[in-house]
Amino acid sequence: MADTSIAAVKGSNPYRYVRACAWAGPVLLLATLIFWGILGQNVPPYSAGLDAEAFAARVREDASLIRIGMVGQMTVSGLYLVWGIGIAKIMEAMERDNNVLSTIQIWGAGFTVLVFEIPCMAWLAASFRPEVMPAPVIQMLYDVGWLFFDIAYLTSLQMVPLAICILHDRRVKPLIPKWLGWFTLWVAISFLLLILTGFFKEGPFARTGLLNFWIEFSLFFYFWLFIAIAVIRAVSRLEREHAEANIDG
Amino acid sequence: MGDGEADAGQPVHVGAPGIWAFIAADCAGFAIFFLVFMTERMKEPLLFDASARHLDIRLGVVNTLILVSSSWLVALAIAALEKGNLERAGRFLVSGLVVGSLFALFKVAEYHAKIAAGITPTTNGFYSFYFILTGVHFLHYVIGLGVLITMMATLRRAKRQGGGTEWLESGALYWHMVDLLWLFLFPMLYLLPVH
Repeated sequence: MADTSIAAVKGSNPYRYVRACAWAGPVLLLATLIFWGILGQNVPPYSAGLDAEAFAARVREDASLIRIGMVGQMTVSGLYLVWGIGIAKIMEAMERDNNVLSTIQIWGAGFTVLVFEIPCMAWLAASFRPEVMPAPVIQMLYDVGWLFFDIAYLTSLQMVPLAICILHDRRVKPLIPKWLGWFTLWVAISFLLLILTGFFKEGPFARTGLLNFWIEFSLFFYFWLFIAIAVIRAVSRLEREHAEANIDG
Repeated sequence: MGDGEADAGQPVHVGAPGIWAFIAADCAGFAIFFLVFMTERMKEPLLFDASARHLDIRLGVVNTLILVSSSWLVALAIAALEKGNLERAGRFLVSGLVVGSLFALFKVAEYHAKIAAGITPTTNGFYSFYFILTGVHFLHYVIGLGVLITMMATLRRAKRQGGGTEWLESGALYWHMVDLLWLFLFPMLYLLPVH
């Protein structure tokens, strides 16, 4: 056969670098919890229900930490795309007919980088010189960041094709457990609820609310953690299968 | 690629087992919704009761009957499928879809009447929950209609070419869930203030 693809070349390793890509996910998850979450004062974020002066006072007080957090987050967020490439390599092993799903997944992961970069830029701008900035401007910059962060429905572009791919895996022992496919699909659909943060400043549906922050938004982090673990395990299995096939061949 | 193709070609049960994870997660999500609703209701019981009295119970009852009937027809379709009677399964599925689609008519009419009367999700706490809970349920319902249509297409393909009906049971389970969630929503939103 005239198969000259990289994978077919004797002795080649189609999974080179894939493990590093897969680890980009959990590494970024940890960094995000530190930079965006703890230093960025986003667990929970400042309430949209505060009046402008009270809001600005909180930002001015925490400005130094927020700046470190946002600069850190903007520096590392590109890793989300790298993780998406790692996920795509696992998906390619499950895809039977073409690579449509893994391609959409990569774009979804790439756009998710923007979901970090753009809001963090707005929050960094708000904390850059808050002492001379009028309170409503600080509040507006925060609103700009959060409205983009919560409502841009881009990560679902990554989740839905990934879920479909997992559910269509025809291996007897699936590469990624089926329940995780269903869970991912559910999280993607649930994200639609975040549009409510565009309408409520207080209560359970606001961006700091019980439903939309503590339950809805936190699902993203569970998705991230579960898929990160599953992807690393899948890489190990694919490497092992590849090695065994090479010995047999 | 030498990536475990050995087990890739064997037939496996693709859909049904895993959908329970979706249904469990979704029901848990709704359970939290219900809990938050009841908690918020306790803060303003008079407002919630007064607002709930403006909902049309008759419309709620009709929509309950519609969903239960549709769910029953889809269950009959699966029963026929298990007996190998694809023709009969197809007929029940179409009936389930036709009956089920009536829900949208009444629901949209109800939303229209509320908005025409100046009642919106921001009117008060009760109506936020009313619109959001029934809206999220409506989203599930619309996805469910898509699922029923996909099931019909799968069944037609199975009749022509044979095989490939593993997903039908999962689809039916989803449709039962849409029905089940409404059976919680209806008394909670419409009937709670009626003593």
